[in-house]
Amino acid sequence: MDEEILKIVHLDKDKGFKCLIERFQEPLYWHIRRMLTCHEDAEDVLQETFLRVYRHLGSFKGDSKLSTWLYKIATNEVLRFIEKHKQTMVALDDLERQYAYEVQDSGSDDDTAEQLVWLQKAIRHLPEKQRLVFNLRYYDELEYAEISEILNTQVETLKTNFHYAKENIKKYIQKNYYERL
Amino acid sequence: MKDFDLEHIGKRMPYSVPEGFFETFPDRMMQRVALQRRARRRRLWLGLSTGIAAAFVAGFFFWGGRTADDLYPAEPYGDVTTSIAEQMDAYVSRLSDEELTDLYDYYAADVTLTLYMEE
Repeated sequence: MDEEILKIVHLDKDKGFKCLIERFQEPLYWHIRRMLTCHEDAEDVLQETFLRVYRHLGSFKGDSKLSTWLYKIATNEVLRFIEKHKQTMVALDDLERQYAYEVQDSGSDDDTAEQLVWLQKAIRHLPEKQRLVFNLRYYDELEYAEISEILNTQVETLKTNFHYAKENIKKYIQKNYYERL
Repeated sequence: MKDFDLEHIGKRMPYSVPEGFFETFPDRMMQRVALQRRARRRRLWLGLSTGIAAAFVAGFFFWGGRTADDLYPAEPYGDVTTSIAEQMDAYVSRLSDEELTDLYDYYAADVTLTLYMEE
């Protein structure tokens, strides 16, 4: 699939680029959204990601998988956005109200909906690097080798990060979900 | 209240996405790419024009009043003799996006030109 898209890009850049967007918009969107929560912010970063992809499409040599390259660009754009908007990122307390609104629209039952929210809050409390590793491994189901290329981090470090992320999530849920019952 | 069950929750996200978002996003993205490409060509043309104008002014003061045509005579371009401005226009319009990006980045680093280039 990657080779087909790259072939189209070489023949007709715009047509190939559109194929690329259609193929990767959803996984990249959700990768970004999991880090930023807000749809409008995720859309902005997704657009910036694809603009950067378009500018550098000619220089992609196929040293890595196309998806790895795209995830790398998206991750850098997310981190750039977070750094730039540190002061105005949605406060954690506001997140629960925002999540509640979003979950109502998703059609989940009340208990599942609440647990979905708590899981996201727990993930949100993780340090940035752990959150990235957890999301890429758990939700995107990427291999450690690929995550290593995306985050420019050694595999062993990633495994450690993922382990600590899971432990921290469990601790957070134990403390904040169960103990309040 | 149910026990917290990650297996049951699975990998669903608690977020909704505006209806039709993914259906319309590719076209909106292509429009934005086209807009940005036109904007970059305009800024590059402005930067190059400014540079040429500055060279003319410097040449005028340095060489004491000779005209730009004396200093930079128009050269034939194919079958048509064109002015410097038209030659530059033709040159810029033939550049690929990567070449435009490189040229834009080069001129963006020039302090004298960035004064005239809008963001």
